[in-house]
Amino acid sequence: MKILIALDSSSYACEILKNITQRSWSEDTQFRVITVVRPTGNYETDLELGHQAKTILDDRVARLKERLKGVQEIDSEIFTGDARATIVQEARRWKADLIVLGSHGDTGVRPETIGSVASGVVHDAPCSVEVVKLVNVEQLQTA
Amino acid sequence: MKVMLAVDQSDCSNMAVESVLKRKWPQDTKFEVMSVFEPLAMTCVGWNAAYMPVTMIDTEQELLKLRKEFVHEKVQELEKVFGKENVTCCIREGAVWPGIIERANEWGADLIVVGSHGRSGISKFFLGSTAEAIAGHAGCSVEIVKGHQPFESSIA
Repeated sequence: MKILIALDSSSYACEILKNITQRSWSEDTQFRVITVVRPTGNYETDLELGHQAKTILDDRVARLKERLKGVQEIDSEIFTGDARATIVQEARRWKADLIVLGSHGDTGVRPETIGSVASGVVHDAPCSVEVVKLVNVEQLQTA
Repeated sequence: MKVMLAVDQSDCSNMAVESVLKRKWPQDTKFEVMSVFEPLAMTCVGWNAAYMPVTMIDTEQELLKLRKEFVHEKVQELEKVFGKENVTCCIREGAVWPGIIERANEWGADLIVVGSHGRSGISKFFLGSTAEAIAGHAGCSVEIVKGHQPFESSIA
């Protein structure tokens, strides 16, 4: 089974990884962890953002490898582009069986909906999609 | 871990159950097959349930019977793999997504698995409104199952 995990650089990503490590996976499961960086239009800024995202992602992948002992194949990659299109494209290319992503990114949250990236990926994806709920709706309403 | 499978009689529900059966789960995982039956008064008559023709009541009973049979069939499939003590079922009447969310909260589900489009789906390329409503309102993770078919058949 091939599982594509889409993370952003926000702290929500830890929740997604926790969700993954709590399950059991068969030994032939392949994981691919990706982060999509939105381009700013400035080459140097993009390069810098890419480097930062890579540092964060490498750290998270290392932790994931530590916790998922039985699983052999975990790789990662940074993409630059539109998150929705890139995640779907990568799922197609790699022939993923499941995409795991968070319900919201770090650009703001409305309760009782899922974010635009999650919603878009669910619509376009060629495979199953797990939307990890990152926001406690009740907490948000009382806050 | 508690996994809730929300099903109707659609092909996507079948795929959702199959994908759960194929996967490996932590040892003490509990499964529940959940189905919300929407009364015909809500789907067909809608504007005023008092005007529902008598013959439709029979149809409704028949549909409910079929739904129950479907759920029990799925429960048996799950029991074969995960053991009798780990599988339960629940059938309710009412509006679909609020019923699923209510039951998921009550039971304390960690994951809800649904098909991407149910019985009223127009096209494979549109996500069902129910699946999206569940993803938005649920307090836990939601897996929306799609088959590989739409993609592969478009290449062939």
